[in-house]
Amino acid sequence: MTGPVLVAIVGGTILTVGPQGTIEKGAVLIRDGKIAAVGRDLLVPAGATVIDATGRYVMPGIIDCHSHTAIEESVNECSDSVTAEVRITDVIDHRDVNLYRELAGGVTTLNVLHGSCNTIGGQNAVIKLRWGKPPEELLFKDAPRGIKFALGENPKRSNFRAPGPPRYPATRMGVEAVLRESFQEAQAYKREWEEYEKKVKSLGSRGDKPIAPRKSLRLEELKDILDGKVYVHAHCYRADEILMLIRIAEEFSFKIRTFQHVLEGYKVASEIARHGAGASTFSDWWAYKMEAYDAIPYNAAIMAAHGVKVSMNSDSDELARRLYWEAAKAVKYGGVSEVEALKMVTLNPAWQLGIEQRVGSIEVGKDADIAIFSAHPFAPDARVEQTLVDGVVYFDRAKDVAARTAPATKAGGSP
Amino acid sequence: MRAPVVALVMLVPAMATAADVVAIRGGRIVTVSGPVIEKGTVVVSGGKITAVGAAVEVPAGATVIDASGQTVYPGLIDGLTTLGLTEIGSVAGSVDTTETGDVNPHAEAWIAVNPHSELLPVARANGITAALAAPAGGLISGQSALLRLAGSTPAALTVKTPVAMHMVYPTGRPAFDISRLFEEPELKTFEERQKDKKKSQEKDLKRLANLLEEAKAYGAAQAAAKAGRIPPPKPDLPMEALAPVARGEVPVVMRVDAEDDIRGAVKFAEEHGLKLIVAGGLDAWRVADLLKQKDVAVLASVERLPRRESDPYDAAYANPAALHRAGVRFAIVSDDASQSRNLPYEAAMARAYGLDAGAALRAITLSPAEIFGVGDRMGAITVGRDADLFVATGDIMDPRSGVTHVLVGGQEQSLETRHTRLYEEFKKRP
Amino acid sequence: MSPEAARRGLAVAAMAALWARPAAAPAARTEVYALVGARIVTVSGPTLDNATLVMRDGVIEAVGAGVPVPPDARTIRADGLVLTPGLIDGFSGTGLPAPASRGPGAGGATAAPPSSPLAPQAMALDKVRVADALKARDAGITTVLVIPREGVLPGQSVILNLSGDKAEAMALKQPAALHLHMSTLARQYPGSLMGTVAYARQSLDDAIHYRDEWAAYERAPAGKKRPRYDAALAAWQDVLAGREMLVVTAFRENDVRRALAIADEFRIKVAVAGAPQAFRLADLIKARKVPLLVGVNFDPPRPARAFGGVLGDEEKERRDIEDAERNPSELHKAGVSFALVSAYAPNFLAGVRKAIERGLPREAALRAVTLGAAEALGIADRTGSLEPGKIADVVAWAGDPLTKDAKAKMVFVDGQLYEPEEPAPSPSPKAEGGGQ
Repeated sequence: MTGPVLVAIVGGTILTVGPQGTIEKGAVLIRDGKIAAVGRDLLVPAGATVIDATGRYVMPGIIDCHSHTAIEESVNECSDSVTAEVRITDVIDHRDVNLYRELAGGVTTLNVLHGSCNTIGGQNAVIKLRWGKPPEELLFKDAPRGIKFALGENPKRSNFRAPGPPRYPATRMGVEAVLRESFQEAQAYKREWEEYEKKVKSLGSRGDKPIAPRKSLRLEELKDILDGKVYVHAHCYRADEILMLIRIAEEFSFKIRTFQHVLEGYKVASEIARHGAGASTFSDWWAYKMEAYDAIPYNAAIMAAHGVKVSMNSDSDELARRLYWEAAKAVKYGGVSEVEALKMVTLNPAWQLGIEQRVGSIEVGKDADIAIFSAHPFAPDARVEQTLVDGVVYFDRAKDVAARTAPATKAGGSP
Repeated sequence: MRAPVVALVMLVPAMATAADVVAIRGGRIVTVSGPVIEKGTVVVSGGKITAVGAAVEVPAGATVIDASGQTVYPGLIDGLTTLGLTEIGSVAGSVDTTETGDVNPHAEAWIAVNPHSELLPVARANGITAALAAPAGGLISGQSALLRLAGSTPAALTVKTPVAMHMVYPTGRPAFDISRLFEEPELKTFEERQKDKKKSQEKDLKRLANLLEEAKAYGAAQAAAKAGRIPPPKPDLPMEALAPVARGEVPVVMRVDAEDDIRGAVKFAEEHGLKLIVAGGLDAWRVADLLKQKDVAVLASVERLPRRESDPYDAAYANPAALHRAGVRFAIVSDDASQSRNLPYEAAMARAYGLDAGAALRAITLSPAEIFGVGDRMGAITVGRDADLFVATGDIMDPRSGVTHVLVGGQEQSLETRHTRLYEEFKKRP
Repeated sequence: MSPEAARRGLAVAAMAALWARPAAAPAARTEVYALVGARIVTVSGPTLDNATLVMRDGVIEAVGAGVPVPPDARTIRADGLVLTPGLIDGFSGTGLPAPASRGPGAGGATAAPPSSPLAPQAMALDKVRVADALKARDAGITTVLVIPREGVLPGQSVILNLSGDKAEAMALKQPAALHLHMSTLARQYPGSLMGTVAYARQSLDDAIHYRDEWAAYERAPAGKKRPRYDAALAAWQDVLAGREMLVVTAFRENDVRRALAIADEFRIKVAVAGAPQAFRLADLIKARKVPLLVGVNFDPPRPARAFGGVLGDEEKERRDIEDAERNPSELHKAGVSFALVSAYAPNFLAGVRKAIERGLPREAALRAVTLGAAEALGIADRTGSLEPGKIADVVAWAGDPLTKDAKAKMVFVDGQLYEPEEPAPSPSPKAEGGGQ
């Protein structure tokens, strides 16, 4: 019978992102993958593996709220405008090396989403970057279910010509119609099943059981959205489509959990705040599409000022490795405080995914998902030295460099 | 008829007036070419830097910019962009980067640059005062121009044209084409695809070689005609554009990333007497010694994923440091337009992965200036150089720092952009 | 007429009948063969030297060193030859027409009409072209499982024993299994891998609903709206009931996991075919006792396009091909039982030889294309080894079987003799003859 697994990170500056704030020359004690203690002058228990973080900065593992990393084959099921039955959890590619590269950028949790090909896409997968484990062991246990919506140019296919007959919708009017029709259909499906259940109940044990209606995995998912069982993550750009989606959601009595990209969110920040949705956005990407032409790097700051919980995301394997500097830009553009900016890649995305009880800050009881930086994560020479998930070191730069064989990559490529 | 091969355009008239004199006082001055001046003053006049130092006096009547507690930098130079050539990437009407057909040596970037693009002020507002605007695509994309990011006509923007002839090293692989996204591709085994790739590559290299040979001959014919020895050759814009390249007078910026392809490009350049600059160069760290030996400069962007699964995770981040150690000349570039403002953070990433801070800053200032042949007049803060400068609240490579003043050609620029206007409008909205 | 006279008469009549037959190649009429003096690799037991194998009426009658030759047997001296069970290709496109190329008019005379990519009810048997299928015998292959490679639900396979001239008569097991390829479709649903999984899941849910709906109706039809017949949903019923195997074609490591997840969710039996990365899951496969048909199609044609990484990682592609080549060897080391199958490789035996080159012991390879294959396909009680009572599928090889120079000299299928023609001498020593 082995004892608990003990890890102690000592000597660094701890950016807890929680009520304890910043602790200089502090320590984090980890027991069986959970944070057991945080503070100064902690006693390191016997048998603990000690990670010396002197001179380093210790922060919660970064959470990327918009990722397509580790998806096998296509990110989109483009054949239809509504494909709520497809599941990213079915196609997690645990061997995607970008998982490791993102660990090397301090990321520990991803919201892996269906693409933006469809008005209503597929079900998401929230995963932890337990590099090397099989797909089922990457799934973030008990994370709330989520689904992807997309509004605007992508689902209406403005920017490329797909072969074959054109697919509906081609305008934002049609996008709204697809949503409306889908949820009306879902309501009808829900009623059908409620009637069936009523009939079964009233018959009890006697008589001929009626045949259940056909189970449609697609409509089941839409029904669950209506019942508030599924977080909606909606890719959107233009202010008017953001308002449209809020209208639809309120009409059908469900909530949008996050607006994704939401590059014109700053124009309707109070409406987003009133609805209670979070916003997951880029720091400063713009001008790549018409709907991104009014994007401004002050988006995050303005929405945050209106009380919206804002996160910075990547939507890119490449950018996901640098989210700590994306967060820093909220300081530059709009004067967000450094702590609030840090939250944009830690506690805020955790809340957006419904996992803030488990991750997003360095607090006792939470999972030991931690990134250790060589300098303050916002500093220009900062780089990730180690990344832990559930108290296990999954990325260690020194070990990575030592294992390299090509001389060019070892020499000076190191410390 | 096009301007002669190398045309330098002055932005400001030679005569200075009192109103043109600006003194940036009390800041920490990072000269790039020399030691940092912890607290000093820079004076500019007539579009040029006229004084730099700790004990420099502010001339009477000069406009004073108080830079105390801040840092003064030479204007950043983004050594590879499509600034001015593109507005909204997905809107074809606003994009002029890529002409039809594979071979467009006579396409000149400065002709199509839009001085009123919203993207220029955005880059400038974060300290980028000059940028190489280059055509893209095909086999021979066209000629780039070095732009100063202030001016209301293409001529006013253009510091130098042509800077280089841009080409794309044939990889043998089909180029990504969004319009063919849904096409059913042909099915081929790996071995077949390798064969196809090699054949395609060889074919394109042969084509390129032939074009250069023809251009050389055309150039010779032109020279002979000028000397009256033969009647002038039939007008041929592409050949005319390519001739100085074939003679090694105008450098070639070759977009190439794979190790084998870089070696191939170096060999090709040598065989054809080309002056080679590598753009992209993702694998350059693997052939750094060769690049040093052949004096090939590299325009490297840093925010890229490694090519191979087996590559070190920081291959692109550590690339500049590896080149620096090997003594290879290089610049760090955005290779973009709307993202040009993030150039300092690309340099920062190179810095976090082994490049010392001074070399990182040089890679986005003096080094690109030198690579483009304007190293004596741009890219550093020394007397006599162009007055392209900016003032930042801190280390410009720190993503938290802000820019408070920008001067281009000695004129202070408005920091207002499309973004600040929308910010002002909407931060007021309840 | 006396019995003797009758017999003589019969014999004369038989002789006359023989002589009266047309000049074309006479069908072998012999029902009894004795192969004598051969090295016999039984696969199920020890190898016998200088031994005899007797087959009668399509069944192996006796195998052994001192086995007597029956008086009515046609004796064939097999000195210097090696006898093995007929080779089994447990997952192939043998005898099926080549898929129509894209573009109009590209198919030519032999192109098949396009079939639905989502048709669990389609029968591979209906598509088999006998003359094409029989060519496989030149390589010593006597038994093949046939299923089209295109589509996601290509239908149900058939196992053919390659003798005779009618496809139906060749069917050893019909249908053999229902198939699901973990692939995607070009312009319709499912266009993504997750779509394929969702489609399979919905199909099985619908099949359950169909079953229950019809069962309820059959029990008490009065007053109920009659359910509609659906060929696709009807096709799933045997799989649902556990009477038919679902064979999932795995192209990626996680396809094996996906196959097992479907098996668990719907409590059905699955086998896995292809599986080039199966060795990474050796423990899981062993623990779940998944019948495994390991493909030797190591470098299958793949889309030649740039999307998804303009630069491409050729090193990784090469590594993946090498992993696939050593997959059988690694599985063997891990103690996993499997069949080796062509999985549409253009040259099955070349693929098997490659696996041997990469470390699979030749004996293990031979087992994987005989008894091991029979076991994976559920027909080991009737074929796959040279034992009395089993179907007389026997190959006599010149040279060691599964080596480059080995030639199938005689191929018996259902006890019928077929002698492959000598292939024309190839111009280059490296050229591979088709089917060798």
